[in-house]
This record gives sequence, C-alpha cells and structure tokens, in this order.
Amino acid sequence: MTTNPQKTVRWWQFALIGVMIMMFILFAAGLGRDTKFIPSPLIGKAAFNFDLKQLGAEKQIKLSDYKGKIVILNFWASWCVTCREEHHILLESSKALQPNGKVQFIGVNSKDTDKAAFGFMDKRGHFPYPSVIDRQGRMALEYGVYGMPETFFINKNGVIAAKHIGALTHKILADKLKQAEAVQ
Amino acid sequence: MRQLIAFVCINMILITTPLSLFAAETVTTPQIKVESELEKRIRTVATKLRCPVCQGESVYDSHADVAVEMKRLIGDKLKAGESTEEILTYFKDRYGNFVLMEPPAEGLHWVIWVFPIFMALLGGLFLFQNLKSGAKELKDTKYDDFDQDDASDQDNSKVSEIEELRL
Repeated sequence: MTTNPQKTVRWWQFALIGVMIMMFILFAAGLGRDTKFIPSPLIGKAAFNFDLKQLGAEKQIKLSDYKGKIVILNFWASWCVTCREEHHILLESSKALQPNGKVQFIGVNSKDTDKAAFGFMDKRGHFPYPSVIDRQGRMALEYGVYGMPETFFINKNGVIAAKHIGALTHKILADKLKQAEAVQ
Repeated sequence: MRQLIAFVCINMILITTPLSLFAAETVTTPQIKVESELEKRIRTVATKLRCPVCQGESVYDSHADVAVEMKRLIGDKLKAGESTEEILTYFKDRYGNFVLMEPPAEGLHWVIWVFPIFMALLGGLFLFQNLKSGAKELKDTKYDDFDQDDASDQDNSKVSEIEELRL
C-alpha cells in the first residue's frame, strides 16, 4: 500500500490552522464582552421570600408583603464606597417612582452595624423606604450577591426579572425597570 | 576590675540562660491544631467552591468576607445534615457554574474538557505523520548514490578560495 505523505501532512496542517482560527475568533469575541456582566441563574426564578428586621424599627419586613408591586431590592453597606456613588440615584428615583404605588424600594443593609448605617444616611440622606438588616450577610448569599452594591428587580409575581452589579444610574434603573414590567 | 567584669558576665549568663531555654521551649513546642471532623468536611466542600470575589481562589483558601461567610454557612448546613452535593447545588443555584472550582462537563462546558484531548490527539497525529514520512524518506535514500565527485569539487573550490585569499 502506497501513501502520499505530502497530502497527509497538508491535511493535518489545515486542521491545525482551522483550530487556531477558531480559537482566535473565540478570543476576539471574548474581548468584546462586557466584563462586568455576570449572568445570574436567579433571573426568571422566584425571589427568596425574606423575613427580616427593619433597620431602626421594631418591625419585620417580608418580601411577600409587597406582592403585586415591582420591588427594587438594593444591597448596600456604609463601608461600601460605590454605594455612595449611587445613593443620590436611589433617593431621587424612589421619591419619583414610589408615590404611584406600583414600585417599592427595599434596602438590604448587609454586614454592617446600625450605628454605621445611620451615620451613612445622616451624612448622605435617609432613604424614603425601609431597609432590612442582614447582619451576617446570609441574605446576600441567598441572592448570590458578589459585592456591594447590587440591585435586584423583582416583578409583581415575585420573580427576579433583572439584576445590576455596581452603581446604578438613572438609565440603568429605567432599563431594568422596563424588564421587570415586561417579565411575567 | 577583672573581678567586676567576671561577676557581671556570670550574672548575665545566669539570667539569660533560663530565659533562652524558656524561649526555646516556647518556639519548639508544636502548637498543632487538631482539625475536627466538621472542619474536615467544611474543607472538603469549601475547596470545591470558588470564592466569588477572588481570582482563581477556592472558598477554603480565601479570607474575603464573602468566603468566610460561605464557610460558616457550609458548617451550618453540614450540621443540619445536608450532604456535600446538596450544598454545592445550593451555591450553584445562586451563583451559577462559575462558583464550582471544576465546571461540570455539560452544555458548552464540555468544550473545556474535550478541547485539550482533541488538540493533543491532533498534535500527536501530526507529529506521527511527520516522523513517519521523515523516516520513510531516510530509509529510501541510497547513500551509494551520493555524488562523491560533486562533494570533492566543492572541497577543491573552497581550498582554491582560501589560497587566493592568502595570496
């Protein structure tokens, strides 16, 4: 049996070049991706129904109390530097959106102390909505939080429609709110 | 004066020797912390999970706040009777496959597992084909056909070039 080695070698060379081109395309596609975007497996799933003590009040807050409303759940802490950036966005947006009764903001003060949390709000403005206490950070784990701040947009049926990692802007908030209105 | 110096030296030795022995005792005594059964199980689970805020570090190795809390939660879940698989699923459901140190061979992840094997096979075959054809060429070469005259002509021309340079 006679074989032509030249032809065989060329075939493997083509295969290797093909694989290298594929890898190059994959890397090029990866470079164009938003590195801040981390897909959450919680999107489209029922939000964890927490029952936690309200910050600065002798009252328990449950997520299920707000069924029928879009809930904007914001994880924050006094030690979180990025939380300072989005603070005025949360104040302005909540003042503008909450009066219509369709949207409810809830803060989750995570791994913080009451004193430090109130010190933060005294300096930058008190939220016109309640915050719950997540002293140990268990609630943050329950929501798969990476770091502060993180905001979840829960629709009327208690399903997580969207989430945002990092400081909010008016545009991001409006876009995510639209998603929460759209997702059933 | 000599007596005073000798007295001071002896006193220093007498004072420092027990101190140094005490220090040596402190240093050499091994302070081995015995790992409890629960800690062993926490380690087993925590080494399988990736710290969400670190770069390629497991939850067990990380000292980040979130990793510390994850370890505490693992401990609580183990105490409550949950299995390793159940705990891994709990974190996977919240953080996705990213949180697992070894991504499962499912969906697009299979590429990660298959690609190196495929590349190794491809490279091996490429090398094998090259070596095989090279060996065949070497075997087919007849040394008797080697043109001795051409080689000697080349040598002679070199010698003449050198002689010209010398002149």
